[in-house]
Amino acid sequence: MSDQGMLAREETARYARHLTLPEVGTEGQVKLKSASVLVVGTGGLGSPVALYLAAAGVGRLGIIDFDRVEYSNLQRQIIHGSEDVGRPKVESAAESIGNVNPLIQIDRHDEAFTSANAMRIAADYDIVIDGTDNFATRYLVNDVCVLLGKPNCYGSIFRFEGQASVFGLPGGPCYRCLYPKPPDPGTIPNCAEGGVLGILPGIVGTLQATEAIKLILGIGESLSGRLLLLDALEMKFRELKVRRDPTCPLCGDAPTITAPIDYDQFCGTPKQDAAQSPWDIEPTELKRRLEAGQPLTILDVRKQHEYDICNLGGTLIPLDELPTRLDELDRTRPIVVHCKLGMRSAKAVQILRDAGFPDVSNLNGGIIRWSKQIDPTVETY
Amino acid sequence: MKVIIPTALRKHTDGQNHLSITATTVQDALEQVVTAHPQLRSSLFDDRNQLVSYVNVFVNDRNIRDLENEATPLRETDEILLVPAIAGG
Repeated sequence: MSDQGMLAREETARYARHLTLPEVGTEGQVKLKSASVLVVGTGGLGSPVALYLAAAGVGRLGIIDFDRVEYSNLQRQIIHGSEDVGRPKVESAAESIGNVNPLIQIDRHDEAFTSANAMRIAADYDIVIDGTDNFATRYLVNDVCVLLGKPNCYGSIFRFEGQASVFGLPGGPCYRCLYPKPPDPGTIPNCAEGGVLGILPGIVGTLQATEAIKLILGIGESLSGRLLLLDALEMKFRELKVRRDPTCPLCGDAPTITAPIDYDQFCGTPKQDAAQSPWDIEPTELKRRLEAGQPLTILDVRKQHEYDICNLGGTLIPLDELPTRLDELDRTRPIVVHCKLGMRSAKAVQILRDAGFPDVSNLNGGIIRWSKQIDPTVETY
Repeated sequence: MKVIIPTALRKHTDGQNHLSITATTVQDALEQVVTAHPQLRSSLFDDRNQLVSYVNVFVNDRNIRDLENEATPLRETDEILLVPAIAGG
């Protein structure tokens, strides 16, 4: 008898509580075993998704992530542990999944999910889970799922709020039907800038995993056509109707998107090393000026808690306080402004220039790029 | 009626999670909201005063795009939700 049709003794023991459920039973458990799911991102959402799908006995799990584990991940990315800091996330996640369930197959994709590889990678799976953390990759996941006809179990989080739905089912809407265009960069802060309650991805990720398992088993009512909103502070769920848009360029009646596009361009994502401000300076240039002993003020516009993690010894004035604290800065000295990645400092440079400061520059790529290119002893987060 | 303000936009409403207003249409409601909190305007409307596409406005559980857009009439018991795209994961 084939593995696909039967469960081994160790599997009947492991999945006993599923086998007892009339809605699952042996037949359902075999469906789970035969199923394959691609989890895009092994971060806050991907952690619970991958662990629960593995525990449930989904036979083949693909995990894709280009990143490495950082300390600031551990508050919510429970698939990684303290000893994993510095390791590739895919490696760390695969180890945790293997500990939870050694009977399933894990496909490791230690790379970014991009327009170049997404169709090829996703084609090999039944269902895709969107556990990404940026708009560009979310639109990519959505588009690839619609183009390949795969369900997209969607979840996203911010501070105390979450969203979950299922996109890309036949007749149902896709992410573009709900949000035709992404916000301009910097309009909606990401979790690194805005923060996120650590447990929130645990709630939303388990919703995504639940939807994936229901789709595999063919039971229950899918979230397709419904957007579930969670406000964890009020502990309130709201359910909103989402309809397929007949004019959607991807899943509408006359689609114009027939292959993945350039999502960084679509979302206006600044390319690494690309200009963030008309007054950018490179980390190497700042290093040269400092080593030459040129007088300058380094202005750090991050928050106090970020400053406490790492800093360049600069003056700390958080961006939102800057307009009311301009008189604390010496207008006669050149100022180099930095933040974590260069976006907030670019805004600060504009504020200072508008206020008449004559010599203000933006440290391109922020303290993270400084750490990577100039001084690796500067902690990253 | 209540206008629910999502976390991402609360910095423009002094942290308030909802606003209480009386309005007859969605347009009227949104105008009142941005008049009371002018900083919200750039998060909800573009340069041509059109609603931005990354914030959906729902009346109860229905997207105003599936109703009558900004002309959608309101009843006193309606709840208006502003639902911006969020990307964290």
